[in-house]
Amino acid sequence: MFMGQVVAKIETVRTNLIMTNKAREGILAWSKDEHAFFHIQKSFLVHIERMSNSAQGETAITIYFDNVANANLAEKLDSQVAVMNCIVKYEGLLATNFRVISSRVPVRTNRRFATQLEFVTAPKNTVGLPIELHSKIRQLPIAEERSEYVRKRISSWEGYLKIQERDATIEDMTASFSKLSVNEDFSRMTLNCSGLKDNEWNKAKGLSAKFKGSRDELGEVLKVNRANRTVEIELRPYIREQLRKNQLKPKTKEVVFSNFATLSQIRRLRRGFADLEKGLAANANLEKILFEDRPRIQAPKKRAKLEFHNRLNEFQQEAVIGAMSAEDLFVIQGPPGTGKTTVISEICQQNAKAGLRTLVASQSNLAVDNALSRLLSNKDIRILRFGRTESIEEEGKKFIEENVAEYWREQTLQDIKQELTMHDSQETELTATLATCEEELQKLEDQLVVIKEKIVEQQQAKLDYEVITEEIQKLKKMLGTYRRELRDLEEHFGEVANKYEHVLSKVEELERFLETNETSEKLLERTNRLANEIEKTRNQLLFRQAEEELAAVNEELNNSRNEYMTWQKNILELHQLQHELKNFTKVDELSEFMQQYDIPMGFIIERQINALEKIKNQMVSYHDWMSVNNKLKAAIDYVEKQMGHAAQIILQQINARPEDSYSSYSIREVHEAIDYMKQFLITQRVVNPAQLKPHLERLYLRRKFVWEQGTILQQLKQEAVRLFEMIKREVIKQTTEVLANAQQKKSTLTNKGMLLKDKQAQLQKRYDQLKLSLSDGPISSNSEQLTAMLHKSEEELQHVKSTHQVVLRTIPQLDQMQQQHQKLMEERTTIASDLEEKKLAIQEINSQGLKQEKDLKALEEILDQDYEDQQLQAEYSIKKLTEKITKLQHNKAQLPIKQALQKQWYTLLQEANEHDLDEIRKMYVRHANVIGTTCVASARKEFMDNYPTFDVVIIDEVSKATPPELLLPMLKGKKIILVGDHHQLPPLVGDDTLEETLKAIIEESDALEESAELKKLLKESLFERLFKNLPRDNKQMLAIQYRMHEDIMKTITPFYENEDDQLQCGLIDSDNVRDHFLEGHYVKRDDHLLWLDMPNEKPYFEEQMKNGKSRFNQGELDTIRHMLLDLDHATEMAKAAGKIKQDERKSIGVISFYGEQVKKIDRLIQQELNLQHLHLRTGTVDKFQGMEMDVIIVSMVRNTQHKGGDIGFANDYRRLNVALSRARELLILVGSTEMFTQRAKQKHARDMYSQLLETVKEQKGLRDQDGNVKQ
Amino acid sequence: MQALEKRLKREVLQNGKVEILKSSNWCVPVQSIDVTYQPVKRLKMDILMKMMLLTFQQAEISNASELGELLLVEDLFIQDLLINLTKTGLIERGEKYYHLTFKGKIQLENGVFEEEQEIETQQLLYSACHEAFLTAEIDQMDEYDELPDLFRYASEEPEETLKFVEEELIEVLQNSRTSEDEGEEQTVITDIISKEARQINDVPCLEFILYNREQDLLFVRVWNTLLSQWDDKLEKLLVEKEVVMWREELLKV
Repeated sequence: MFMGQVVAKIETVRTNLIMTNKAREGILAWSKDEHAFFHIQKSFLVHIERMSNSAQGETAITIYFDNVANANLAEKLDSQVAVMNCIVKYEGLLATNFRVISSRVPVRTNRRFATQLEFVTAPKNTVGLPIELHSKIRQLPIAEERSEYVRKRISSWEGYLKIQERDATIEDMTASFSKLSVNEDFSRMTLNCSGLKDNEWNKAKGLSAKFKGSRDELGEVLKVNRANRTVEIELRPYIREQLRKNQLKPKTKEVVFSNFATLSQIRRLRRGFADLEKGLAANANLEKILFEDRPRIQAPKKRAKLEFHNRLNEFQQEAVIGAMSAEDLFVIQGPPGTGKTTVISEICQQNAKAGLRTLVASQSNLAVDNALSRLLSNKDIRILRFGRTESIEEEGKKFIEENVAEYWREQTLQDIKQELTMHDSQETELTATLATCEEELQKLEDQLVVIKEKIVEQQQAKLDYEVITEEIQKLKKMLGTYRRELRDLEEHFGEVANKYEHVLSKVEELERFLETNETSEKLLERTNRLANEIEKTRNQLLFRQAEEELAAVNEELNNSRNEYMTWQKNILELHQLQHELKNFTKVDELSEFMQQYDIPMGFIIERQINALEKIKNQMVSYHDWMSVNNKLKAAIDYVEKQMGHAAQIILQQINARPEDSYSSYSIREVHEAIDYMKQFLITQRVVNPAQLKPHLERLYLRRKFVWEQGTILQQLKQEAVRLFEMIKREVIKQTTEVLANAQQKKSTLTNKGMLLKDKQAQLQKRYDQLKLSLSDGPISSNSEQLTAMLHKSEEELQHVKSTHQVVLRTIPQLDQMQQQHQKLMEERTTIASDLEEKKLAIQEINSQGLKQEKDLKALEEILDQDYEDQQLQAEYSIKKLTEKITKLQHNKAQLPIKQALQKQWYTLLQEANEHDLDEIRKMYVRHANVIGTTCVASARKEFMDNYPTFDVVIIDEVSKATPPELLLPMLKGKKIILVGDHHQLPPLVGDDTLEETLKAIIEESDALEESAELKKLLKESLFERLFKNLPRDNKQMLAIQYRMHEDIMKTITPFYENEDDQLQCGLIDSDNVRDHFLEGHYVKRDDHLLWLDMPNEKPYFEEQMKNGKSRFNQGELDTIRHMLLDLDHATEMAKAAGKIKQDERKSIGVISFYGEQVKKIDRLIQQELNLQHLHLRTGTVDKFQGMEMDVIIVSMVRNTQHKGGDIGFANDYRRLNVALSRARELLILVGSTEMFTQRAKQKHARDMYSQLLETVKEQKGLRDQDGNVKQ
Repeated sequence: MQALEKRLKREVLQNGKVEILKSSNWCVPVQSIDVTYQPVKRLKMDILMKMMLLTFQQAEISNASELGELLLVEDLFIQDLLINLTKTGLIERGEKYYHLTFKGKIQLENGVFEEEQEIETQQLLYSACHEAFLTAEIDQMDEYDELPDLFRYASEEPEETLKFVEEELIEVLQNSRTSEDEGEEQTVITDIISKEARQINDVPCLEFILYNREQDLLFVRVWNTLLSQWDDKLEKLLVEKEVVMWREELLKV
């Protein structure tokens, strides 16, 4: 990050440098003292690395002096690197050590900060340490920590190297051979060997072989057969050539196997690890991108705005824009056929245009060549293909160093040729242009004249303008005054109008009032009438009242008489009864008497009666006691009779007992005692006196008590009689008093009667008088009705009177108001006419002003024109045009010369020989801006030296490379663009995928730790992780595919279901643009997807090679044979019908999950079939990744009824994805649906193939092994 | 011939798994053509530089992009060379245009100057079966007493030869010339004076149809006596045309 900034601009910084003795010692080896040493240059380009803090907590740094940029220093130190350890202090840098190390040690790393330092060594000088340098140092990461971080993280990648190292031997192996034989086309050689140790046989595979003593490598060991003691070698082209000429003569009969290639590859990969650790990545952020789960990526500063050179769809455009805008990293996911090569090509072109150098790397040579060959030929792009010539494909060969000049020559010739064709028209064009220019010039000059006239006009306008402005000013002033007046008038008018309205409403109101009421006269008349009526009613009322009073008095008089009569009767009775009182025996009689004659009870009587009542209550049990006494007497008598004298003794005993020795008894107890005794007597038939004794005792005791009770009751009775007598006496006394009072009442009653009689007489008199005064007839209403009538009349009178009052007041008011109204109306009219006048005046001024302003505007327009600028412009244009004309004239003059030169150049270039082009080649290589190579080759020393870094590194087919392989090109890129598809196959190791190899190693491995480490690798797919975790701005999926017919595409869309964008078909009319024109037995014109279902039975079963693990399927081979013959025939027919060109061949790929099957297909095609109309290519699915053909036949091989049978390689959805996505027009699957959809061991695999089968069925593409339609 | 056949058979059968199903001899017709040309000798000078000098001499050029436009060459190349030419004092920038210095003029003259060499005639061999010129000396071919029949795919009629593009011939000629170090100078063929078809040579070839029983593999070896090597072109031709037939005819028994 900071590197980028610093490299862009390095400023010189001055700092104090203080030397410790130790550091000085180091300097003295090179110079007489430090002052001299640090003055050999004014300043030094240094690279500062931050160390861990010193023990004292001070910041420590190491300064690396650039051994190239510092010319004087480099000369002095013979290009070695000076290194100085320092402590950062405020007063300056304190050098603690100084030494010189090898020139091979890199000085520039991404953890160091490059700056131009001027060291001030004079001790007196107080420059100190500049603050900016100090803060720059503080921002630096501590290099050792970063290295440690990388070391730890990258160790998890060791496993990848282990896989490669698995069989790698360091030592060369030598064997002698007895026989040498060559295969049919000299591509392979078989040696019968001896002398290899047992363990060496297996290791020989993959090694490079050569004859001992020969410089030329034969090729790579393809196969080893230990049983036959043979080694098969894939030969290099040069060796093949030699063999054909019979010129390959081994000097000895010995062959040497070495794995130099593998080892050097591993070495390169390891160096990649080390470089990353040392901070040598061009992008300092790389280590984080690789190892952080969610890498922090610099967000793009802004989206680039681009013009595209290729036709791109929206996704491709997004990808290119994203890649160009990204700072560190951009990732593109490109499913099959989605045009990722086009995207890469476009990015390269954009980079070239921006002056950037791009590296296009890939795991395979094929992918590199593929990408390069699709780049547009454009002279801004200079492509260079780096790598071993023999491994580069035809498409890439023209870009290898030895061919680029030729490539350039061809491109340039083509350009010149085109230019030459235009020669004839050039002169006419030029003349025409010249003519146009001259015409234009004339026009411009005319314009200039006009402009000058205008300038004069403008000056006059300026004067006019001032006059008018003044005029307008005056008008404006006047207008202001008028407006003010108008405003006042308007205000006044408003007031008057308001007032007017007010008065008017008042008048109206008054008028309305008078209208609704009667006139004054009428009201007066009504008043009088009402007064009369009231008088009359009043009299009637008085009469009625008198009448009623009279009746009342009469009644009262009657009552009074009756009262007196009653009273008299009472008194008489009382007198009589008073004498009889003595005879009263009962209290109740007394009470009744007193009540009847209203004899007051009095306090004494009441108390005595209460006492009497009390005694009465006590006396209730008197009769009971009497009866019990009788009963007791009878009982005692009976017993005494029985006992005789003994009874006497008992009685005496009892009586002798002290007074309080007996208890009290209730009546019931006495009865009980008697009954008890009776019972005793009844039960005991014979009774002796002794037995009766207790009974008698009991009876005596009770009798004693009963007698006492009897005594008490007798006393009470006497008391009661006494009390009653007392009460009677008291009552008599009271009665006497009452009688005395009655005499007084007699006089009262008599008086009352007298009074009433007088009143009656008076009332009668008045009544008679009133009766006379009533003139009118009899009165119909009673007094209440009359009172109500009176009230009503009085109220009405009151109302009429008040109304009359109001009416009387209103009339003059109305009069006054009407006058006011008249006045206001006149005033209003006056003001309105004033207003109108003012308005007219203002209008006049306004129209005058408008006219003036219009004039002014016209003048302004004239004045606004910057004629002087126009003049300048015109003059400038004239100058330019004149120049252009001169140039055109020059060109015209030069044209024949130049055309001649171009012709000459064309000839020269055509004739150019190797030597001629040598300089061009050098220049081309120097300025190459798109360099293609494989990942591993990008770490070759030669390449590293020529191209240490790139502005942009594009890596294609990323998913196919292992992280250590990817690291190599990534280290070189300031910006990295990854292109891949994690839904296609992962890296291959030999014939197996990385995962399959890993699983095999894990199974073999004994060490748990190792297998755990390897398992981790299985989970990690760098591309997938990056693609999933990067922010949206840094990735793009290409979602439109152009390869497959839509029907074929449907087989792979499920694999991309979980992506953000669904896979779409970019072919507008699949049926038309992907028409295969074939009409045969197996294939009809409309078919694009077929599955030939092999029965799950013999002879369609898979078979396994005796000594290998690979499998084949003869049944499928037979079907494929028929299929190919049919396709060949169908192509021939299509040619005959003119649908396919005569010289064209239908391209057909026959692929399989199994290498052995591919071999058998190969043999079948080469040896047994003569297919004139087909262009055939075969291969394993894995090898076919990245390729496309018109027709693809997939031989699925696996088919068995064994319980343990499974589908092996075909389990991997990514392999299936690749297999299904190679065909443009027609995809034919050959295999057992039962095996794949039902017998496969893994559920996900069964599901996957079932879905595929469904897709095939939907398109009615299921056939039996003979091609008959199956349901 | 027989000795050769014997040797070749032995060689073929070195691969123990292989048996010879059929062997035959026939001739491939090879047309010999005499091409006459006059090579020239001239100073080695990179053509772009030469062209730039020529341009500066004849035309009025004021900057690199103008020149780039004229020659249709990327500016970067032009700039490189401009710096180079200026540094070496061959050109200089005048008030408006570049022009050659005296040294430059001499250099250009030398570069353009071609010293005509002796007229040379060279024989080229063209095989219609191979659709190519063969690099070999017809004279050095062994003489055979009896020539076998013509190759079954060779046309009886002589080809309407000599329709070759001149550049192609020059390239063949140039490549066939042994390049000796000529120091500052080089000899180049710029055009052909004449070409003349000579005789048609019958080149005997020995054909062995082979069978690898273990692998059920049929293939063929053809020894070309002119080239003294197994001729892959003819082998391919035969396999393509006949392998299916061989299987039917030679393996049925």
